[in-house]
Amino acid sequence: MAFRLLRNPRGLSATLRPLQISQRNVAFSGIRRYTASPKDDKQKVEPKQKALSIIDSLPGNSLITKTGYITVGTGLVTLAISKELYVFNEETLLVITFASIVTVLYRALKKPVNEWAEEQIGRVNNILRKAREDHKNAVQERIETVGQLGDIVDITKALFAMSKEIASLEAEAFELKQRAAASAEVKAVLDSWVRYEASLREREQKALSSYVIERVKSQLKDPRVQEDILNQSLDDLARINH
Amino acid sequence: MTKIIHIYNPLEQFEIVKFIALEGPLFGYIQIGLTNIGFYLLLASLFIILLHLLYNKEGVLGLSNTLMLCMESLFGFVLQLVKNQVGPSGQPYFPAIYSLFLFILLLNLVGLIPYSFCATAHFAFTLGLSSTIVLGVTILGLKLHGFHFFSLFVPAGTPLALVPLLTLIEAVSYVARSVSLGIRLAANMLAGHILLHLFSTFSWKFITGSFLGLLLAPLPLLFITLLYGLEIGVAFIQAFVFVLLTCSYIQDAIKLHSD
Amino acid sequence: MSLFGRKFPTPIVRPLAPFIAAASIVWLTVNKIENSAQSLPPYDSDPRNPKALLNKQLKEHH
Repeated sequence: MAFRLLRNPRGLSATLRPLQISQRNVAFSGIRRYTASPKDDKQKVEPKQKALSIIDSLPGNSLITKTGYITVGTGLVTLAISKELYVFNEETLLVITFASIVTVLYRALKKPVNEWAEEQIGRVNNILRKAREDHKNAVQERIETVGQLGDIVDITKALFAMSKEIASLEAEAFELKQRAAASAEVKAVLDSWVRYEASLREREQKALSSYVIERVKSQLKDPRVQEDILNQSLDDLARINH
Repeated sequence: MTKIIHIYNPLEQFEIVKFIALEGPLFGYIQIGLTNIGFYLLLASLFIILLHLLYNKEGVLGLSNTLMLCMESLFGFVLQLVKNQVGPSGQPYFPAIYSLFLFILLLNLVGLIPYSFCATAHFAFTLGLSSTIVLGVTILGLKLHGFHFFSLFVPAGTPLALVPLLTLIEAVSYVARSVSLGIRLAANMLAGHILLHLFSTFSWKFITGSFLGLLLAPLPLLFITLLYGLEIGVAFIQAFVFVLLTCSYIQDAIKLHSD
Repeated sequence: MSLFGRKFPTPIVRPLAPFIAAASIVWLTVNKIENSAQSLPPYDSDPRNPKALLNKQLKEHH
């Protein structure tokens, strides 16, 4: 009988409930009279609602399947006990306590672990999203910079033509420069020739004049010549006087 | 008249039972069998392997992101432990240490489930594991340092007169590692399980003995629940301590006189 | 190393060779102790000893 009651948790609590409620009434009966407020009454869940919430927590859709589950479950448990497939003993207490500690730990850890996991997932997601965004931006930037060079073919062609023209012009300029250089050279050579000729003639004339002057001077020193000149000058004077 | 209380033996849970056995006068005399300890060891190994194989394939086992994150954080925890304890030269031993940690942790936790069997509460298993680790560490040290490895037994700055005595003491303590490592784990798990079963037995006697006991049933149940919480903590801590000591032994073998 | 259709690019056998050797040594030692212990009196004929039947047969043979 004892474990029959223990097997069914509601049986146990049903046994315990009168004791608890009576204790509470004794303890708070004096206080409640003064502190009773409508808020307190609202917080108290109605028994019917509580019963409904228990039924709602069971799997299944309709009330029939839910009651079916309960019936089948109790039937299976009863069968297991009556056929001694399951024996109530000390280990049952361990099953109960283990289930409760697991439930407590699950309830207590579910929220913080989930929050932590959400945070981590969010962090990783943020990093990935940011990386993708950055990559997109980089690609977009590259596309834009490349897009500015869209008419590069024409420009290149023009540049090529221009460079070709420049090359031909350069060639022409070089040719002209060479020609100018050659004519300058020729002119320089000819000029030097002319200068040489001129200096040569000058020197010849100088030599000739000095030679003539020398001759005249030497002739002048000659007394006969001096006499001739004197005579002639006297003749000239005489003629003038006439 | 003395009242005899029948108590169900709390050591009964540790009995090794053969599930399947193949024995016979073959190759001398072979004894191949699957005992419950072997079954649980296999179960734990297969579970770990399966979990890690399905780790990346989302949806196969219904592995949620949270579970994957928990595994990753466990991985990171052990990696940090190895990095802190052994340093970068200990990285090659990380896979073994990680597997060891998960294996012991899982066996500890599985052992806590009622009606199951705790393999780590067996001295035969844990002593085999710990002596393998210490012997392996010794071989590793001899391989890395040769004869110089024995300088581990002489602390730095020892007076020459004390060297023989200290060498003896250090050698004994070194050998005692292999025993203490295994006994620490098994004794903790054994004590926890015996305690749980003793309390459950007494509580059962108390609850079924009288109506008052039945009325007060939540009290011992609450106590056993708290004890269970403690045991779950012990399961984690013992796995951690075992791995931590393994790391420090490996570090000792890799760097002689690290301090 | 490739296992279960997955690659494990971690050196496993080389760093763990000392431990594998140690495991073999421990296994062999334990096996030896077990074998010798199973054939020692007074437990060589204990019914809990799986080798009891063999030991008995061996004794009768001699």
